[in-house]
Amino acid sequence: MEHAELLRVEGLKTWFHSRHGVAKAVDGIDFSIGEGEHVGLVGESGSGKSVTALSILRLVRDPPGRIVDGRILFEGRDLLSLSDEQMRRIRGRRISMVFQDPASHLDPVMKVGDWIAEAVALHKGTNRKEAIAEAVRLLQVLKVPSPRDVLHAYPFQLSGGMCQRILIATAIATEPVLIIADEATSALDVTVQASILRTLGELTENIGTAVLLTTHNMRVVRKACSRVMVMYAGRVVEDCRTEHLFERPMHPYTVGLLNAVPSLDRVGRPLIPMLGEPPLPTATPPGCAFFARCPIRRPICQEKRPPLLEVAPGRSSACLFPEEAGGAR
Amino acid sequence: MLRFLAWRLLFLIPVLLGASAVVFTLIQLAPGDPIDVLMGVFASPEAREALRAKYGLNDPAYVQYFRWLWHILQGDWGVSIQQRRPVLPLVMEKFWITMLLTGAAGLFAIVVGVGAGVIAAVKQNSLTDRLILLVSVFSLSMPAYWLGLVFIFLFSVTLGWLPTGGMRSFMGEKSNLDVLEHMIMPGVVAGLTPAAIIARVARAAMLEGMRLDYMTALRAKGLSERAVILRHALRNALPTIVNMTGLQIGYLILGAALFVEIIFSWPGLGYEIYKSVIGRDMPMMLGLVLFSTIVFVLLNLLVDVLYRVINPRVRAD
Repeated sequence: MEHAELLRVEGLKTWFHSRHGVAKAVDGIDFSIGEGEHVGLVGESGSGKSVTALSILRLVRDPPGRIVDGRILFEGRDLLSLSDEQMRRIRGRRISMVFQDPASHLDPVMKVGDWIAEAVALHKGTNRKEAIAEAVRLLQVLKVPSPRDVLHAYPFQLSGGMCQRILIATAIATEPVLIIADEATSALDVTVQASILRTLGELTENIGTAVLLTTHNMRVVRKACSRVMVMYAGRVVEDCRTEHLFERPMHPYTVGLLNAVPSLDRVGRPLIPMLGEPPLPTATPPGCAFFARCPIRRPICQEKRPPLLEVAPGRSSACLFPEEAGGAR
Repeated sequence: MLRFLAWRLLFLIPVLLGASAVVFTLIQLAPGDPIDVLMGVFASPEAREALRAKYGLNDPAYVQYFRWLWHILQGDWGVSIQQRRPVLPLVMEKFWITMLLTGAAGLFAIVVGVGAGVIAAVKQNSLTDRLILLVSVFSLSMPAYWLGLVFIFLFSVTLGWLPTGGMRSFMGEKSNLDVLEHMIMPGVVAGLTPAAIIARVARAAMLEGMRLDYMTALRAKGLSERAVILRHALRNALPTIVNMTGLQIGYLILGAALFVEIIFSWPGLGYEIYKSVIGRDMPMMLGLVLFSTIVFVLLNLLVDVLYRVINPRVRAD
């Protein structure tokens, strides 16, 4: 299944300036997302997933953060070259966002119905009454029981899962072409997680919206994404179809990640924790960022950062020795 | 909400009783004898004693207090010794004049204070922010009576733009515009300190709100920066601002107005308190202070109610 390209990120660098130096949270990342494609961006905490997600909508707080280089091509335009006003018309309308910890991403003193209606009214130009009616419809689509009661509640009166449904309703209200879900299920318990993922999947499937899902949870990726990008120390180190990643990872970091996750395929085999720590974002080494933790490292890996290259049809890896990374699992 | 209101109203009774006792005691402790003021120091001891007995000044203090309280509750606030008129209507009349000045000062404090606070928060650490800080520290540090004199010297004596004091001109037309013109300077002088305090509180409350995660979510929705700040950040800072504003307005009626009214000869409660203290007019003094206290307590209640109305997190208990 081939997708026409919707978003292409090239050489994006988002750095944070502080007294302790420059933290290269995102340090030259390349990827693309096709129309209607569901892509996962996985990595551990601090790998730069969220900053990547926020950078696409230019929502990184400046100061301290700044997009210092790169291009974000979306519908033929470079988002980084748009004016604030032009950018504002893309946010929430063409690209919308769902956040981790949904309760704290809602206005605490605004009724959630007004929160949804605000987005509807802003982008569709409807009046308040029509917007509220639309909010009711959206919650019905999301299978929220008694939507009218929910609309009159404040965020603190709702569960985390319900707050996330509110954010999703807001995100799909304008039928955007891309939804960025930043750790959208990480703060929820497993059953709610599954239902939210299913809902998000179905809804976006119906309206043909692409999804970029950032997560640290391999199970979530497997369930919800057709393609997955693995991020390490501010860069994508592996990019391929989800089933290929789980069958045969081609970067030692991915291998480490998969070994550390319990799986039904490997019942009875011990989990293998990954040793060491990722490099500090203020002091990334000149060579491969994974060098210090890598089981198959060689002296050449230290010389320069290996680029993300196509190593097999439809899949890329930033390892110089992808064939040796993990082998068949 | 109704239960809360009933509970708070019930709670007013002990508060007001306590306040009345404190007011009464303080004025008892104040030096000076009203008889001296009424009759002069050369009156005969017999005449003095007769008047003393007539006003019941020989009874123990607690008897005097309960007698006074009983009358107060019946609406009989006594007769002003100096003006020989019932206290309550006099106080009411002065109260509205003070409210006019407090209203002007309060409006100035809210508009300037909230405005400066929001701007300082949005432009945190900029030159504008620092300038606002500097001006507010200055306003906080300058006592109203000194600032009042400087203003009079500057705007009335030197520039001749505004009248030096009073509420109306002696001559010329008695229009509302004339009152307004007299109100500007005392209003600004009285409002400057609360404006500075409100600005500091508004800035802090805004900054706290602007750090929260939902600000990013608002921008992600496509809202303009203006809507993010005014419709959401300010709305979230509002409970804190309202709380502080209510207190400041209360202080205005009780305290700031006193000095400002004296400096600008504004014929309100403060000016009247000053006159009654100088004249040892005890019934008037008691009436004025008690009335101001009641207003302050009621204002606090109003603020508490308002706080619950605009803050859903407190409302839901």
